[in-house]
Amino acid sequence: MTLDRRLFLKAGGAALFSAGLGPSFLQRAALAMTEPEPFFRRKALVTIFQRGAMDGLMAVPSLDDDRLRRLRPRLAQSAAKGAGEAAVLDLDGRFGLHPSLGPLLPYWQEGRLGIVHAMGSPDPTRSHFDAQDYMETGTPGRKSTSSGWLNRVSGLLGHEATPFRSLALTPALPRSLYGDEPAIAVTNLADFQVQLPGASGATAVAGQGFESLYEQTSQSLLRDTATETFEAVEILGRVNLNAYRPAHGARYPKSQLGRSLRQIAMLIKAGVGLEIAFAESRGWDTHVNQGTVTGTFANRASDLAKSIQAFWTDLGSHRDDVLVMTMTEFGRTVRENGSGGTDHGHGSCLFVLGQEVDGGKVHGHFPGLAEGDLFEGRDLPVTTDFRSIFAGVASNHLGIRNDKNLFPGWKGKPLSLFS
Amino acid sequence: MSFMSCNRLYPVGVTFVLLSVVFTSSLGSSSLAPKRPESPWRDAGLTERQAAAHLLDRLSFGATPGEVDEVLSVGIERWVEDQLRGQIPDPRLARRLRSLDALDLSAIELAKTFLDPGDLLRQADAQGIVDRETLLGLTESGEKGEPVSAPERRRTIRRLKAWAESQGYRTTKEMLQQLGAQKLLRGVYAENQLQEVLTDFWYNHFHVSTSNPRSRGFVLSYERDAIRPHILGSFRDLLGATARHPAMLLYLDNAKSIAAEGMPKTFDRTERAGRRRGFAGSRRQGSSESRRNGGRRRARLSGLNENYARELMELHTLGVDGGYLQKDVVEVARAFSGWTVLSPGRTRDRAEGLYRRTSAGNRRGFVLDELFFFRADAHDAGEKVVLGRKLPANRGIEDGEDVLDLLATNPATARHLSRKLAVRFVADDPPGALVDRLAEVFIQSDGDLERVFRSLLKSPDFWSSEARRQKIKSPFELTVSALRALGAEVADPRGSLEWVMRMGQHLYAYPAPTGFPDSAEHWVNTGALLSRMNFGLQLAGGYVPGVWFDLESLNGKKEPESISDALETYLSLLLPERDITNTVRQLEATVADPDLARKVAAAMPDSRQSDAALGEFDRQARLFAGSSMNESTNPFSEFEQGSFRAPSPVAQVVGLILGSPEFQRR
Repeated sequence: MTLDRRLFLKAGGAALFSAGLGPSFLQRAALAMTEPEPFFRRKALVTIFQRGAMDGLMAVPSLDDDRLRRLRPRLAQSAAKGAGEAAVLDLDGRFGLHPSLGPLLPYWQEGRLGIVHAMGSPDPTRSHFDAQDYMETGTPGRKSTSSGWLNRVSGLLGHEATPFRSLALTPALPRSLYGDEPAIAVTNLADFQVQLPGASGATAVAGQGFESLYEQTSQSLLRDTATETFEAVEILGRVNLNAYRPAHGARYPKSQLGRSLRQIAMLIKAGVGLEIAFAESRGWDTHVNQGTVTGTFANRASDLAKSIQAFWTDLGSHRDDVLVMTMTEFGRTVRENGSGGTDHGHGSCLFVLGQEVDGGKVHGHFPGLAEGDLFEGRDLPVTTDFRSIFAGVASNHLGIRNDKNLFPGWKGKPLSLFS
Repeated sequence: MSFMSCNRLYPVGVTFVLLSVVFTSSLGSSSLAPKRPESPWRDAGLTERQAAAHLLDRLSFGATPGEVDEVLSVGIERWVEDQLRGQIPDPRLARRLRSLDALDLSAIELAKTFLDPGDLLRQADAQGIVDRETLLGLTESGEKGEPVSAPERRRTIRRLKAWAESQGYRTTKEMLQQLGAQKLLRGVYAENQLQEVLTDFWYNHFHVSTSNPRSRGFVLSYERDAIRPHILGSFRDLLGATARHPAMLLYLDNAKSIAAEGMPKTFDRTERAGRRRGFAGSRRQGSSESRRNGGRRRARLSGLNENYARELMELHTLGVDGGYLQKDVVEVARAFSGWTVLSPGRTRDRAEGLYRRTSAGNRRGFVLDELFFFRADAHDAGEKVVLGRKLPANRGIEDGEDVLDLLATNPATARHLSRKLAVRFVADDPPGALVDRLAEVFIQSDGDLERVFRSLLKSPDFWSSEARRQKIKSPFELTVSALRALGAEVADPRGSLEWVMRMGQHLYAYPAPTGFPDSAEHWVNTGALLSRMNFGLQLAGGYVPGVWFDLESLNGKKEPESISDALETYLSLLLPERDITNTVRQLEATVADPDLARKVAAAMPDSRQSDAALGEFDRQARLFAGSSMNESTNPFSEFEQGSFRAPSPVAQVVGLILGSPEFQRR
């Protein structure tokens, strides 16, 4: 851990006060760090959006049902013993786990990893655009909702605004985080500084210049935001991004998701007040040659599982504060298509990982794949509205009870995934 | 010479000779008028210069060097009239836009020319040029696909490309690049600035997002054909043009909204079964979309879609508290059922032929107008009640048009739009009395946008000290105003557009139909503010690819005597008629202390000095600079060689000014 309390006080505190920053959140942070209960040790929700619609039936196939095998002659996998080491992992006799998701299996066995199957949106759209939109705003069927549900989570938490309260490791702010509450989108935390390529001396002067300008401007929004900004820059300066070494031998994949989760772990450990983090995993739109134990799906799944594994390992004792949840806009057709892939479907599944999760269980109701049970005769139906999962997570992990404001117009009940 | 960026010379001497020539003749008329014309800015206690600077802040994207004087030489009232008329000849802009050939193509030509890669491949497949499945299979690593060699794949792609080129096909992405480029170039260079400001405003009001794959191919035509011609015309015309445009019909799903099952139709296909099929296109509407979205099967159109109806009232006209009910949403959706798009293709060709051959009286209510298609066979012909007004049964396209009439003249609409205009042009929280007055003019003038705008300009609120400098520039406004203030030459707009995005504004791509919120709170947040400061520094330091300027020329080729002198000089050049005393005082110590740089640099973590600490963007910017410009014009060759040069002190001062709180305001 790069930034521990001792180091912070030694390196951070003095320099900070001499820089003449006001009595601000960083100072309080420094003070808080001397207290037994750290001020900024907050619950954090880390979300991973799997863009493109993950095939929930390949990630977590039902094992006691041979319809899947018949409808997917090229894609179905076997949990049979003879199938070699890449066979589907048996979760509970009823469901399996794709072998590339194997790194997550220990968490399932420990009871930390829960799965919700046949989840999704009540809206039948099969458009990525619309479905992602609905999932991120939390208002299926309604496009004009101006805020994202994660932004509303942040508002309902109502904690003091700190620069890194809500963070997306994406080039642009995702719809989930649009709204009244401040949120940052950045792909590389090293960008988060006053910078001129290769001219650090000049940069430093400029930084000082801006600080004094914004400190004294009469426009209060600019002034207050700038105070936060320079604090955030200062914090990151202390974290020393390049020297960060993941703890407990965690090894992040060198993928976008791996890099994102690595930076999220860094911030969680730095105690900067991170509460909502958003990362993306792309490439789940497997229309063609989806593959089985190898191939497109397996590569994506492997990246997802290894990234989460590294993150969870790296967190160490911070796991107590963190919940990881995946989401994806819809599932894919039960039947494989002519190109060795699957097309846009309806229900899919998601993963929830946390110390207090009622794990080792497939939650929700999996209706089976009989012809008559399928949605529009072709897809896994949605039996669990994603809002009941999100509301359950917001309530159980973050303590938000007001699901009426979190999901306007929704009349369902939160799903409890917690023991 | 110390402060001149050596290879960033560009003559900024091009001025507004034309302007002054054109208007010299008319200068006298107003001063000869018997009584002094009403002058709200004088009443507000502004000097002529202050008034001109304020106008340039609000009716344009910011003052160019010396522009305050140019406004005065034309005369303020005259300048405003010219901006309202929007007819100032602009050959300089035309020259800059010349290479953007998509701007001259009709909506239909655009749709035929610019395709998404998937559609391109489907076309090629249909023509037997390549085999789609095989080619797609090749791009994946699945072990069950036919093993085809890499050279074969390359050959196929070459064949595809050659074919696409021979057919004149290009990618949607290229069109969107041209769309962004024209927006930036017009913002920086257009003489008729108000036209650009209002096009920006009304586009945002009737927002269509390029993040939606269905509508993105039509957005260029949407802005040009549906928005731009009507920005100072009748609101009803503007509303009607957006309602019929394919971008809107596809974006808000009205294109797939058809009468619910069992409802009477304007033209009932089943009743006339066996006679003739009517207009063929309708049957396969949206089939390419269905392939994309739902796999093999043809999309089943499944009844009413309320999206457009709801947003039409909530966003475009009445406003969220405009007094409509869910019942009205459904009724309005029924009124617009059958309003759809007939995209280019064989289906369209057949339908178009049939339509043209059929005499007007015999078209059974079908209407084909460019890409807009009214499907009488999908229109709910039952009686409707919208906001208490009855729409009789057995009609067709008139239902939708009547709804637009109703909404355009509703007082809630007048208020909603007046408030939005006041927010944009006066303050984030404009005085209620001003909104009332504008709404009154809107109602009395039957939604004449020019009259509403004129009354806004006449209002004391527009000129009040509470309003001046109170708006925070959007990232686009900030970027364009900085380029204008520097008199910059934008050889390639992409580097600047990248910064607009980085500061939090993905142009044309706001993810919701609301458009970008017009408030300081939306634009000013921790991440974005830092980007704004960095933008100022990097622009002034010459690090924004594709942009050149000459700081010395800005100051009449004079080198400031001292750094403090530079500070005052450039502040008054870049922020004309602003009170700069505070900024000078605050910055003076920083820029003048020779020890400061050393002191602060010593306190900086080492990581900031290493190349590894360079942001992703800067790494990309370097690559980008290399790829987008040829050697002789590439001002960033130093980057390529890896030798960095600290910006000159004057560039540094200018960077601080552009990144300062004062420059964020307008």
